[in-house]
Amino acid sequence: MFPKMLLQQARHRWQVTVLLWLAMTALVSLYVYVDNSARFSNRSMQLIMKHMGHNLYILPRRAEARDTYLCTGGQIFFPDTVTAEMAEHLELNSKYYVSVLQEQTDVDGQSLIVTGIKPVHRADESGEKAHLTQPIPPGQARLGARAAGRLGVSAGGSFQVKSSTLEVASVLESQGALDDYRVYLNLGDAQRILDRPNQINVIQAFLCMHQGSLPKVTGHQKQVMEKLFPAFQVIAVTSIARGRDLARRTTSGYLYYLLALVLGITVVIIAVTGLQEVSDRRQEVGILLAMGVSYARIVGLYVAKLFAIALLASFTGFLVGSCLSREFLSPMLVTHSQPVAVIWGQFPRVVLLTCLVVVLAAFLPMAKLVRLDPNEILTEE
Amino acid sequence: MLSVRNVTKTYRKRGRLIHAVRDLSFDIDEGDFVVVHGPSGSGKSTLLLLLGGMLPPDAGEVLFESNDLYGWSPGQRNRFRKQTVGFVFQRYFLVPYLSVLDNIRLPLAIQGTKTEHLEEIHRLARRLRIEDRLDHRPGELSAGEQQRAAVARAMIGGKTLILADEPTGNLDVPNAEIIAECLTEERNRGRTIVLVTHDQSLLGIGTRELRLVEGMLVDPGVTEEAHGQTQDAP
Repeated sequence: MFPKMLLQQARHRWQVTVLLWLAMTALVSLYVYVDNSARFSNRSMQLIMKHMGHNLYILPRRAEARDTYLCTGGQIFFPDTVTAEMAEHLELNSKYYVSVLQEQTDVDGQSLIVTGIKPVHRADESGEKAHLTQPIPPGQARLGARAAGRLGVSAGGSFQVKSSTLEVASVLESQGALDDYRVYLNLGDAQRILDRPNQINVIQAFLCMHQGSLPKVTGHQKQVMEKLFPAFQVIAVTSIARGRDLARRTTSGYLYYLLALVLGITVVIIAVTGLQEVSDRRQEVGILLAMGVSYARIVGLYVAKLFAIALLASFTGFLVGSCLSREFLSPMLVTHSQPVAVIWGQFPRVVLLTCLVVVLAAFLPMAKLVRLDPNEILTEE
Repeated sequence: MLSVRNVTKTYRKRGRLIHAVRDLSFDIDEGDFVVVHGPSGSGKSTLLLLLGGMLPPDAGEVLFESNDLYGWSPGQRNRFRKQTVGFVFQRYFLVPYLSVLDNIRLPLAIQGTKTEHLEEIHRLARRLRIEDRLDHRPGELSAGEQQRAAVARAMIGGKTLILADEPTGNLDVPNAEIIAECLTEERNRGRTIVLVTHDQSLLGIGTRELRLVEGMLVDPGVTEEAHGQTQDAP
């Protein structure tokens, strides 16, 4: 009888029922959209950042960063096994390591920077998270734009470095930087040509931001590095990361402000319609009390109806929010192996959100309901 | 069945004390049909709510089968109303979104009765001449039909005490007669009925008559004027 009563009540005042359902559906769909935006746009920005290149330099503590940047003769060398050791430590935020041996030297009569590279993989790099740097096969070279110009070679051509002949695999686009003067080789070739067996002088890496804010991530990285590799220093090039962090926080702030606004409006709508409903149904409350129904049961009936609407709104709002985010976020976000999708794991949180809204919004109407005096109502003429 | 012992109830309205009932004492036996009458504001409705366990008195006690109603917990008084008391009010108070059938069935649901009691509902509806209106909503019924549905609701579920507050107050003579007939029949079936009315035509249908003036019981033969002006009270 009581479930039937709830159903009849909802049908009788269907406009109010629809209003409550719509308000909660709007809230839930916005929540799902915001959550998906944050989740997938963050992933998208991580990929964009990754494509912008390495942002960490790891050097011996005694080394001068200036010597590394300018490739001077003051660089300090260390064993190339260090990179593999670092890659084993998953607690570090750095990934996509590259062992680099770089030295300014004479190449076919031109002063260029011979740069041996070797990508070193961490165990958690796979699929979308694949390494930024492609390895160079032995005997081949990738040339910076200026280096190719000075040597007068293009892709498919060859040149000589200290009596070693190398084939040009590709010529890179101009960066407007020192990198344009580099001759990239397989690390083994570079170590042999430069007579630096098993030696490198810098490790490049990428600082992943997925574990929190920039200060938190860089702080953690430095702390772990000091503990595990005290003989090394980390130089973070964080301007892009900082910009990305700010953009992310601005977007999140804006979206969460919008969400809070809609949450507030939904609570007010439910509370106001609830107060109105208690006024409209005071006679019903009076007669139910006269028939021996307790206040708790009457409050329970009212709240049960709200929870039923909330549950329905959770489901519809979740579907609407998921579909909208899939429709509008997919075309603009850079994702490969993780397309924008319906995340069913969000659903329990969504139900919790609507239940919280009901509890907040039902407080005032329920306070009004339990203060109704049935004797006053029943003796009204 | 019911004993009222020195019961007093006072309201405070706009800083003014209103004595709704004063030092009332009387007994109602099982199977009685008590007609309570008196001028408007004489405390009739207050008395009915006191008897129904809805309104605690300021002084005195209301005993149901020798138990003080207001010595019970609110939950026990709820159970008392649920199992024993059927209320009828001047304004019907039918639930607008339920059919007449569901309105009549509501007390059974509140009692937690599993069986449908359809036979009893149809018997009551037939007697109150609303059998063909059971599928309708209260808004589709006339005032008389609504009140008859409210009477059926009060009778259902084996209630032994029917408290009716001006049940014919808004009705025309034919409808009032149907209600009066029904109450008399129910009394003959052994129910105890307390009817509050200022309808002179109903005074004769009870087995006993109580006259209230200014919250006090007076001899039914004493005139109002002998007790001065009445005061407003619910």
